[in-house]
Amino acid sequence: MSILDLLSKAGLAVAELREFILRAAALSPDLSDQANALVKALDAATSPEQLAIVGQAILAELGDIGRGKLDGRSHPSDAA
Amino acid sequence: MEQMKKDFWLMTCIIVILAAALFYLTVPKLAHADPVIRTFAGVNGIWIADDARPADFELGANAAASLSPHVSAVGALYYGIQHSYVRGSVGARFTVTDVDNPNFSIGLGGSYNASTEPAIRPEEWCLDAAVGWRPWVQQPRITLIALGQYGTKTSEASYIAGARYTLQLP
Repeated sequence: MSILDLLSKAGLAVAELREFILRAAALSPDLSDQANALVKALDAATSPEQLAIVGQAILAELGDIGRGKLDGRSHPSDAA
Repeated sequence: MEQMKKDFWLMTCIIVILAAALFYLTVPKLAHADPVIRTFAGVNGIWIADDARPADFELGANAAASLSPHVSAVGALYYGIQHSYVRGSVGARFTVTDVDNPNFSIGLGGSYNASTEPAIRPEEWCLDAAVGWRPWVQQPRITLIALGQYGTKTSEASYIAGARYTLQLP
């Protein structure tokens, strides 16, 4: 699988999650505001510009990890 | 044969969990730093493709090792209640939102998924998109999650929505 294939499939995973959130929100009008905010955050976080910035940071961090320099954080999404 | 397969998976998961705990307790740098390895008890509903009804409900656990601000290693072990399967996954996750926000994050990555019932939960590499949210300040151990996965072998999407309770390691 090429890098382009991987990126397109990653985009599919994001699109599927987006669709799932909107479908879940449709079950209850009370959830729609939170769902829309969540989808907005998801779209902003996965825009090509944002992913390029994050990608650069990740490359630098992989070097740090290889040198044994760990600097962990608490990410709620890691629990998924 | 089926029982042997289930026993193998159960032993493998127990070994992985014990190894992670031993690693955390014996590596001084990690033991005295902010917790790198976190474990969670969890409950999920799981949906396959476009089905409106959940395919199953799951009970289990997750573990995550945050190695750098954006890079984490993640794993999961769950039991499907209705279809009596055990599934496990191991992979990497990259946080694409504010890394210093402990209450909300979005992560993208990939994982290898395996199970005792491949017909129900296929064994394949998946691309992952995950959301985590701690909505209640007074209950910081409770996290709501959603995970979208796209199977690279089956080209099938699946979704998990659930809750996690952070387990505190000593």
